[in-house]
Amino acid sequence: MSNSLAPALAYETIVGLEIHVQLATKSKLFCGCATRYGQPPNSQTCPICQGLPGTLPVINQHAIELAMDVGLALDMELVSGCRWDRKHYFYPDLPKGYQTSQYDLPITRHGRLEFRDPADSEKTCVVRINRAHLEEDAGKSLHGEGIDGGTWIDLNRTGTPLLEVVTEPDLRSAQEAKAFLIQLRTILLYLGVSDCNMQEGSMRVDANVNLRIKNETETIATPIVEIKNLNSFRNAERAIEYERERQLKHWRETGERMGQRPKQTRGWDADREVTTVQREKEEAADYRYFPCPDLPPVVLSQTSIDQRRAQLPRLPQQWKSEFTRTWKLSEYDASVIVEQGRDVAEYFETVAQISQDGKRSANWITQEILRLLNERQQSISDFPIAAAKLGELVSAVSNSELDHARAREIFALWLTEPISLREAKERLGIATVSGNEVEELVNRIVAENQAAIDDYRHGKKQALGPLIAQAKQLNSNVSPAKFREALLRAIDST
Amino acid sequence: MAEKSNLTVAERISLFRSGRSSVVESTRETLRNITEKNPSLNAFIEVWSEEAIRNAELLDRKRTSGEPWGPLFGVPIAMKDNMCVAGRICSCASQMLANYRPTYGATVSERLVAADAILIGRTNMDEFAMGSGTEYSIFGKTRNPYGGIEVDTAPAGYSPGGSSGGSAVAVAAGMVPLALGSDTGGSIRQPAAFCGVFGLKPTYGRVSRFGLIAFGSSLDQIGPFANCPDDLELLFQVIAGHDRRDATSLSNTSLEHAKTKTPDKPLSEMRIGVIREHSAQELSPDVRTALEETERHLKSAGAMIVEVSLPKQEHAIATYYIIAACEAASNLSRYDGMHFGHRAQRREASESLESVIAASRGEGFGPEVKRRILLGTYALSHGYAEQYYQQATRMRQAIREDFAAAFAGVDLLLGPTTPAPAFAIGAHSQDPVAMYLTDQFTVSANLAGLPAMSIPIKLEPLNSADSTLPVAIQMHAPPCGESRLFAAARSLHSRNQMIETGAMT
Amino acid sequence: MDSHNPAETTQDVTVETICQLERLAYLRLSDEDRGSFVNDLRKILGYARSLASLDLKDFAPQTHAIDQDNVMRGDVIEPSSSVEEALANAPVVAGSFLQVPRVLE
Repeated sequence: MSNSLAPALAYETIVGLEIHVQLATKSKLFCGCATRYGQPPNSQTCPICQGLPGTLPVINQHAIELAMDVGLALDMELVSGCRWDRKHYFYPDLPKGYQTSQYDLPITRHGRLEFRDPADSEKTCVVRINRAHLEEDAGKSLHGEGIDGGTWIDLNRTGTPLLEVVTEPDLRSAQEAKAFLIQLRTILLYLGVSDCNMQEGSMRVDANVNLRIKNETETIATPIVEIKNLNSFRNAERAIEYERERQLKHWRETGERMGQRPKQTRGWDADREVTTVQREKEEAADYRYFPCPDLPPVVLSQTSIDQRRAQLPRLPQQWKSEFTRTWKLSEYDASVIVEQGRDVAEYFETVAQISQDGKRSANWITQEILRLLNERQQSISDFPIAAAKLGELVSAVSNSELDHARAREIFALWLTEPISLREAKERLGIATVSGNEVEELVNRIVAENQAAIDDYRHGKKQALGPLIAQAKQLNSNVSPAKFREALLRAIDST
Repeated sequence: MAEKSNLTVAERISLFRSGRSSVVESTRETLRNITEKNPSLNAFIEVWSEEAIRNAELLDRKRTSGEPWGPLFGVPIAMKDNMCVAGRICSCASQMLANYRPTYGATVSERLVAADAILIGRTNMDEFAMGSGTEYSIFGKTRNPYGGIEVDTAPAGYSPGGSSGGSAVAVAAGMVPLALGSDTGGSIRQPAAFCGVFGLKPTYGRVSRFGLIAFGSSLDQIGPFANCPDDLELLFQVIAGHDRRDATSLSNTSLEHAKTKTPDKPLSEMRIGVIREHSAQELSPDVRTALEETERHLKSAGAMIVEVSLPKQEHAIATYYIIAACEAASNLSRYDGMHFGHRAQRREASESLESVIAASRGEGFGPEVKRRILLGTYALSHGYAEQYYQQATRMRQAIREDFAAAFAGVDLLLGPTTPAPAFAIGAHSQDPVAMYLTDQFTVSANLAGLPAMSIPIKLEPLNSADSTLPVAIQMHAPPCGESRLFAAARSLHSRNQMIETGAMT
Repeated sequence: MDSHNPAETTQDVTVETICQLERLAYLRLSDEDRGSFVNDLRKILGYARSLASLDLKDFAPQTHAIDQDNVMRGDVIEPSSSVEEALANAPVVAGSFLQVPRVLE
């Protein structure tokens, strides 16, 4: 209504996330079937993951190890004697009628994750992690495929190991949720526990969202909505943002509070950019959790925990501080490189170690390589120039054996030709200019440009520029830096 | 009265060695015997005649080839119909699995084949092993070879017990020398007692459960039936052992560890505890005298008899039925008619998935299975799990501790297998609690994971002159103490043989 | 057993309870079945109720028959079933898929 006053409301958006991460094991959680993506339907199952009568599960030890890694990386408590529970519900892509999961004794719990505040890069946000538990994935349902609209079931994915990471409701905006997810994915990628490929469903996000609205007298919580199966960080951000607005509007219209309606599950419609109701359950689901009698508990000894900790790969934060300390990178450059993932960080480290020039190595990577990778939709492991070669090139520039322009020519050649630095220089006619040749060049330039030299001596520093350009014209291989050095020496000594 | 083939397994094999019989001849004889006796007893659901003869032929070839012989060479073995044999229907006597044909075999089936045994057929049972009378079966009831038909008291004859009644009867009637059953709360020992054969429930984890269609996974254990302790032990040795496909199967380390705590002993050095709480129950006079005779015999063999107490026994039945029902309700969730097994016809094209699943389960399961699914679902549901399931799991621990305390002072425990000999078919079908109480002495071994054996002691004449019913006792051993049970069984068996042959009165 | 009266029943269970269990367990019963299961469950639960009132705090819940832990397998790929084998027991098949009645989302 036009005459209604819409006072600015003080409210907070409250977001908690549940992230399903497919663990990078070769075989399934309880049987030996492979976990490959995109296989022909029902070609990657066995009696065990099909849940056929009489079959029994046996835990994949590597799934336990990967879950331990996540626990260690997120400062979590590793639960010795974690247990397996059956969560009962009927759905045709769940062949046993229950999902084997972990209920009250998850493998790891009570951790935290820090990430840069998207609203203020000087600040960090901290999100508490409630728990991360192991469970088996379900199969895939293709609805309405059969004649008479039946559903088709493919059980290839059934039994794939998932780690479900559950945060406390500590996030305060869609942007924070996205930043958290990026940081979490970066860590998981560094650990190598998952490929985090969201298109293939290796990382799936559910968001619980509601608002806390403050008026003069009280703080009112709106009903919690769970948005299911967000398949990209962008969609996660947009869906939460949409939900914030929708709930605010809904509250203004109805004043509905938490507890006044059952928990809603909504889905994100990426085309229409809205969330839609999927399910509203009157009674809370009764999963009848019950300890799985087929699986003995997993007891993590201190020794096994220590061993795993010792083998833990360096985490993003450790790489970052290494880069700023040893290679003197700015916080920003270090972050840009580290956020690209472990392969890029390792690539940088090799380049820097060979060239002994961190700053220049970082520039090549952030300005040239990342752009190219993006253009070519390529990963660093497929990039044609190996780190060692780039290291050699950067080293040559640092030692003034090459100028930047010539180095770029070599770099461009390397993108198509797998040849050595020496071969590349020969191909491009780049020869090393000897000290004597530089001296001769200096003598010639000094002799021919006395006026400019005088200008320089009288303080006109820029007078040297044209002289260096002249030298480059006379001998394209001469290093401008070395020539400049020799020229200054000559000027000083006369 | 059943005629038993008197041959032990060792004697059968020696016939093959000496060339007095071929495996094919012997197998044909077995098949003839089954064909003759099965119609009145209904022990077998299916006999794998062709495959049995084919395998017998292969074994006969092996006899002349000089290859080493497996320990069960040419011995026909009956399988309870809840153990998978690759390519064979395995139905659990249920409409739900009436046509279910697994492509995989149970570890026990594979071990038997590797031991050169001949799998002869599948035997009747209570549906999904839930029952104590082999009467809840889509294949009809099985009859005890003992007791005959008594017009007034047992018009349909006597119950073989259950749930492994078919296997017990197959051995008792001499159709086969050996059979496998499964025991979740007494399903081997109770039918063994009713049918007068030896039946062993091994220590939980000694025999792989892979390929055994689950009822109560933390209670189920496969075990042997036989007519004598030697045969029983032979079959047990073949099927026992670690299996990497069953995470609850005992590792060799665990087995070694348990065995050092339970060393073998001659009977003359054993202390045997009589379970006070069991002998204080209302027992039939036959069972009581069998217990007394057993005590006397064990004493004369040099064992020391003491009384021990298991104070939590009065709660064993309630604990067992709650836990077993919860595990069953969970295990049976997979039968939804969507992936395998019985699927109901849709009543209309628009019938929902949920409705078709519920109908499939409603049609596929029989009354006792439904009863346990309802009970287990109730005991695990929100608001009740704490007072039923949780309490039962705590009581289970208390019962385990009772046994551990008792075994600190004795080497074996002695008590009844059942309160009375076989009941008439149909006697308990109206009252589930009365039926459940027939298991009151057997469930504790499952709760505590202990080995226990039913040992036949005598045949007691029925009122009507020419019929008898077997009477048995039960012994429990500490974990992995099966060899003590075999020692006691051998001693009792030779005593009984002497009585039979009139050498002792 | 002496301390129990097998005739003791609990009145907590009604036909409504059975209907609720049917929904949870996806189990369709006939009206006749429902009536007899009410009686059975009352009897059984009445019998089992003795457990609920006991103080068993000193006993840790025991869900396994034996104490064994850390039984695991290595992360090794083993051959899967062929599609034909995988679908051998499926009631309805469509190509390489299992087919089930329409799932209403």
